[in-house]
Amino acid sequence: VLALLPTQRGWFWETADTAVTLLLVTYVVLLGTLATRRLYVVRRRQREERAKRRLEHLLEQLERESSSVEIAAQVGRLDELERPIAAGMLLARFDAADEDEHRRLVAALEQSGAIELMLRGLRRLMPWRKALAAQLLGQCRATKAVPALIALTDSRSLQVRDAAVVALGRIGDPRALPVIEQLFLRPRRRVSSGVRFEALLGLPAAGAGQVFAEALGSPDPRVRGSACVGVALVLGRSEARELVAERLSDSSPMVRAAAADALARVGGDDVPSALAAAVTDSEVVVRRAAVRALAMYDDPEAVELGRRALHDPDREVVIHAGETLVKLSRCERAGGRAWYVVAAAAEWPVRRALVIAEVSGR
Amino acid sequence: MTLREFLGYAAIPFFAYFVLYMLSTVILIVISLVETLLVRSERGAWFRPQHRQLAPGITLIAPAHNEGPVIVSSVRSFLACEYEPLEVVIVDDGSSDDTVARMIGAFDLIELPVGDRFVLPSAPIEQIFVSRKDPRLRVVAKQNGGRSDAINAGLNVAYNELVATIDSDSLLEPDALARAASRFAVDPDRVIAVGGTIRIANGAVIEDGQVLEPHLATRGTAATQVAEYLRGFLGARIAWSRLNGLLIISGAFGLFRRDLLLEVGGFSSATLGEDMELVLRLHEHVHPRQPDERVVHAADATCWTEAPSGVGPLRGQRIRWHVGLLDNLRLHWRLIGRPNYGMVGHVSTPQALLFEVLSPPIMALGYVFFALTFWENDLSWELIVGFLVLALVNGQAETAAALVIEEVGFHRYRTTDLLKMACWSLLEGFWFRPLTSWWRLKATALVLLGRRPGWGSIPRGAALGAPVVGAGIAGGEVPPTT
Repeated sequence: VLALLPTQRGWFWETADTAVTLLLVTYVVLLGTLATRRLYVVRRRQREERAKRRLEHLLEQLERESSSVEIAAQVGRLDELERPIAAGMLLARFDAADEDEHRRLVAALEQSGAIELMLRGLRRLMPWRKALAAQLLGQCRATKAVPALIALTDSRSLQVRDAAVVALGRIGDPRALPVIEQLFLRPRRRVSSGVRFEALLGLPAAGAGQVFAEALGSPDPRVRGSACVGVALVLGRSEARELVAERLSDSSPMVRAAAADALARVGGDDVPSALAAAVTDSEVVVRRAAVRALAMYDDPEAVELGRRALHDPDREVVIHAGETLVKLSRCERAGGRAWYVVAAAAEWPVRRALVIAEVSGR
Repeated sequence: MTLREFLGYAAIPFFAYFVLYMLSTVILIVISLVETLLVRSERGAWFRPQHRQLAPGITLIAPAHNEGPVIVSSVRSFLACEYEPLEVVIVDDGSSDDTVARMIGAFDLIELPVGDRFVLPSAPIEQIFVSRKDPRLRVVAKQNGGRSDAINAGLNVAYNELVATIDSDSLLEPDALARAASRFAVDPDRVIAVGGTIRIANGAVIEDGQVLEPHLATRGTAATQVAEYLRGFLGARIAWSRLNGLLIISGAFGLFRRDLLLEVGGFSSATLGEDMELVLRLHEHVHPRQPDERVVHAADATCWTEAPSGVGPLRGQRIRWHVGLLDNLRLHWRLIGRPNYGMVGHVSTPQALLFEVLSPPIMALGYVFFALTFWENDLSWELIVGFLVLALVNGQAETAAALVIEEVGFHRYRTTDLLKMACWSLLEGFWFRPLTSWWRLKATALVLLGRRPGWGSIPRGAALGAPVVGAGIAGGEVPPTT
């Protein structure tokens, strides 16, 4: 349009002309990209649909007759398009499988040579292909993948590092312990939060317990907090109780709250004195966790502490107190006293807890 | 200096402003495209958030006001989210219709004692219910107080670590919460809030509260808004998120740390743009003690909402958005141009001031400029055509780039829908953009005159498969362009 206009040249026209030309070229390139991409995706989707149907048949065969040479040959012939589709379908099958089906599927994959294909997938260029292969190898608990997965925990891609750490946790091989220990103790953004923790839980309990116990002394409060919960989940009750109770005097409220949460997982017949003190902690997050934890101690003292917590200034604390009293009313030792308190209480948190217990069948 | 000479000089800043605007748009779109390609190579097409045993709990808070026709299907879609542990809190904000009664019937609600000791102030809560069918569902019935007040009431009864706010007439994709929550898991020390992508459900095929096929609406207002939302969410917010300069998380779907929300006093009722106000307040509150804090946009976490499909409701919505923007920049003027607040201080807020706040008055000045040149018999039609062509081609390139990002990263629409979008965007420069600019100018005038629009009413429900109703809480209040 500008070219057709009378030839009135000047700074405006020159700049506008350049800008419009550039924008028009960009526009055409973008539309071209859009059209090309659309054509490519449509064709690819059609091929994927066909591949899915073929792979569905192959997977059924694999589950039925794991030792067939023909199946192994078909698996070996899977092309670039089919492999990630097959991986996605296998992951969906693993998610839905019970322990027995899972074992059979892994055996079939081993015999058909699919594990070797997955191992090759760990060396792919694209991060998502590596992550997919790592996820599958973790599901297959393929111990032969451990060295390659350990190497991938240094990948530049977060997705790959996460998938490798999750896989190592699933496999549970002790060789992964030093790597995951380092990730757990120095967590600054190397892998997603919770991933290293859950991976440690999957490793042999003795090694993981030692790492969690050591991490209780970490300078990072987030690590100390996770370690409290880890100790409670992995170590024996008495050892865990002793280690975790010490952390109830930590300088960080986050750690004290995590320690109270951990003591809820430990449970027992008598309330630890540190937990009793935490019910009146100056920080509300600690009081909330502590009052919630009381429910796991079949001790008349827990009832008394819960009853007192009904007068806390924080709404959440009093709600937990009500729920704790209702839960304790079903316990053997504390039940009698708790039942009496619940029956006599006119406070709304107790009435609320009774309704919640009825609704949730607890 | 004669008027003619003055007009000659005055043309230069107008043109410079326009070029600056184009440059800023191009930079944002290029960053968004590169970021989308990087995420694509990282996650591929097969990425699914990994299930975690010890994931932080999410409480989903949805304020509702006279949403009777759509409330049951919306609640079903919220409960169908693939995330554990999940709690859904629906806050009925003094509805005059049967919103609560419908939920009581559909979900077998039983009353809980309301209690006391609420952290945030809100209009009085009258009843709290829990569902016998699905104990994850709570319903709070309170007196009318507006959207922010309703969310604050929901925050008072929420107990999970993370809180998602969503409009009760919006539809969440089943994996949206997991995708948004994964951003917190990636960087728990720095991420303070996550926003999702809002897409328009008008015209889509919806079944059981889930969008099955996102077809483009037939009406021009709704169809044009689809491309506008794509430009806003994919063309701009991905880039702002990358630059750590996001100023807004849409009220229609956002995920926040509950402790931080309580610390800053929840949502504010003092502004019509409460979603943007909250994000600015979070920046202002957290940045001084933690300069590396991040507000993140999760482009793959999708929420579907209904856009106003007529000019009347659209006008009301756009005036409210602009008044909200002006309110927020006035309330948080301390952030503007302050390097202490990182990208938010020295780039995003000045950018919003320059291209969002000042553009309507500059446009008006432009019209005055043309009138004066006409009066001086110095009107250059070539100049007008030149500006027009530049503006149109720029708008087209912007839309095409947003469609490329959509195609490369998400691939949600059919080929015919993309073609329709491209066609509507050709016409957009002749009616939609001038109209929205005019409404923004009107909003500026309202603010300058000290008058304020009400929350208004947007007819809703038609796109979500229900009879049309007027909703008092303007759900889907989602300025996409900031």
